[in-house]
Amino acid sequence: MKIRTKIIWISCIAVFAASIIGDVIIMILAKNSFMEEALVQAFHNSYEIVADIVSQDNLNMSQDTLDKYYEYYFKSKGDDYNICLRVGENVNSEMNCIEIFNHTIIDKKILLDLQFKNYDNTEIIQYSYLDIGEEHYVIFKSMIESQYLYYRIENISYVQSKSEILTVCLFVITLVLTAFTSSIMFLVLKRVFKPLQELNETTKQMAKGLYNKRINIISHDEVGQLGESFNKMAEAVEIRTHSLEESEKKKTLFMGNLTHELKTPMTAISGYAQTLLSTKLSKEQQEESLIYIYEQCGRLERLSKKMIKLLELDNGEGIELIDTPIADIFEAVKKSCTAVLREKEVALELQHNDEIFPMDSDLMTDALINLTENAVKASKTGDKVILKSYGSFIEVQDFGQGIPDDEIDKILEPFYMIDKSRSRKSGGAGLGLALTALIVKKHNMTLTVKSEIGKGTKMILQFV
Amino acid sequence: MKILIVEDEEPIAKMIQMNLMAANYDTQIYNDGLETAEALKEDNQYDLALLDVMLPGMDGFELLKVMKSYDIPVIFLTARDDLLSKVQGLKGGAEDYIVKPFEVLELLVRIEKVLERFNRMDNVVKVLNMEINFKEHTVRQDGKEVALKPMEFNLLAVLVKNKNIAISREKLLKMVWGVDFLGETRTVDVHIGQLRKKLGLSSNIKTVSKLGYRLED
Repeated sequence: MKIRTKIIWISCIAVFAASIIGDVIIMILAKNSFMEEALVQAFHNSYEIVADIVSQDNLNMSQDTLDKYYEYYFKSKGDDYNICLRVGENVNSEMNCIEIFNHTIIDKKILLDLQFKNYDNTEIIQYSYLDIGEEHYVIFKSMIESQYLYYRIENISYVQSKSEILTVCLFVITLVLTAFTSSIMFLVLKRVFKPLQELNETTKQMAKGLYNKRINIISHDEVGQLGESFNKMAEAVEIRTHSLEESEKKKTLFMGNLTHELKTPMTAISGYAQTLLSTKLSKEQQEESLIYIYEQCGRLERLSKKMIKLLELDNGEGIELIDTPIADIFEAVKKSCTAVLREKEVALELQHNDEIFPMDSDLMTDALINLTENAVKASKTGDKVILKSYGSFIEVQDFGQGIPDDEIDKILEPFYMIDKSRSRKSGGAGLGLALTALIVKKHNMTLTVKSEIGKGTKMILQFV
Repeated sequence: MKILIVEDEEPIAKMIQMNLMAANYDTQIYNDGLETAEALKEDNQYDLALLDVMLPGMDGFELLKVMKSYDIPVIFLTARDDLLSKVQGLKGGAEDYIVKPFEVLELLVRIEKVLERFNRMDNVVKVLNMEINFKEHTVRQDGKEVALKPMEFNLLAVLVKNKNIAISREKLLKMVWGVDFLGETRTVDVHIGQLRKKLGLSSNIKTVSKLGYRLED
């Protein structure tokens, strides 16, 4: 069962019970007061008559005359609720009792058997209750002239019906109150629990993997605070998951590319080996096959060397940075690139102001050789490549074909090649720039690529 | 029989070419997808195409459509061995899908099967002084018919179809007698002996040490 339903049920029951207890108390009090009122009224009625009779001076009348007189008196009152009995010396004896006036169905025997209580602490007027059928009566008794008993009957059934109406009213009020309370509770709780419900839904969706779900925070109470905390948590989870997914994706891509780069030379090597073993070849073809095997082995070796370097740099701790004149490094780069430069007839121009940067000279040389070789590859025959350092910048600039805008972001990724077949022919695997980027990162430097199609590319390294 | 090889890795393309030439196929190599599509406009008389998937210019799946328009059956030859690529290739209408690295003999057999399916195999092949009719299962040597037992003919057929390529005894057993055959490789040696004797091929059916037999012309 939902908490909301539970709370509503409990509060309904509580309100109902409290209200019923109140009802019962009110009913008891009201009934008593009704009864009191009815009694007083009845007493007054009977008292008036008793007083009236007593005020008449009829002491000297004979018994017969008195009988006749009372009969006449009560008849003249025209009130059928009066009863007059004459009793002898022994009041309780039925034998001596004569009904002077009785228009009711109540027998004198019943009247004489009734137990009367004193009213108002006087023994003059006594009263008792009597139920006949559905009707309730109160009977007042007074002794007149020590021989006559006067009874006054009053119907008090209306007290019962009055209190019944009251009961119904109270019960209806109780029901209305309970319904009202529960609907108020329902509305309030709905408002209170709405964020909780939303929280629940969102949690379920997050569990399904929709980490971008958030909660709308309406209030700033405890539930609202819970929502805020939840959103913060969701944010953290999303960022974490995203970065994990991203790195996983990168890893998969890397592995896929690596497999491809490994498979190609392997296919060639194994194919040529099989061909040499099983196919009838001419002497020239055999030599050609061996050369291909040798070349492809070299390709695998270069790939593995670069991979190892990449892994070492990636896993290893920080590198040792020693203040080194940039001129030395530039010279080393120029020396290493001599063959490539000569082959394409590209001139390498060195520009520097004897800057000294904190560097790992071997790694920085590697990085710059990579960039320079790429620049030479992009250049046309007879172009020049500029290797420049100024302020906190090192720049490699070529005037070659340039890099398309949508490729600039990708060129630093491992195995990315803009022109696949050309790069392959020149023995690349697409790891050079990735390696360079890693070296640059290890030096706490940034690498910016500025390129324009047909005009050339600038690779800018900046010490931060 | 002319086979088109589209492969951007020159060493692999050359390796395939060497083997196909030895087995008596004519070949043409292209390194670029777009270049291939252009060249096909001029000359599209090919019996089969071997396509790499990752090609510069136009990828293999695109090129497959071009090949289909010229009714050239296609076998994909690629390093991509994920299921999606295979499904894409085969659904696109390729006849076969071979993942690198592959075995040369496997490539040859698959080429042969595709060619058979497209009825592009010649029914009659002339090797040395023999004329082999695959349809009628007959061999004529210098015009005279030589009587061969069914298994001897089948063995000769495999050797002729993979001319100049050595095939191991185990492979021969599988290719000629079938996978279920429980015989020993000795059976192959006996039948080779029969062929050498009946057709006088003792110098042409070579025993390649550690490998098997090769029919040379």
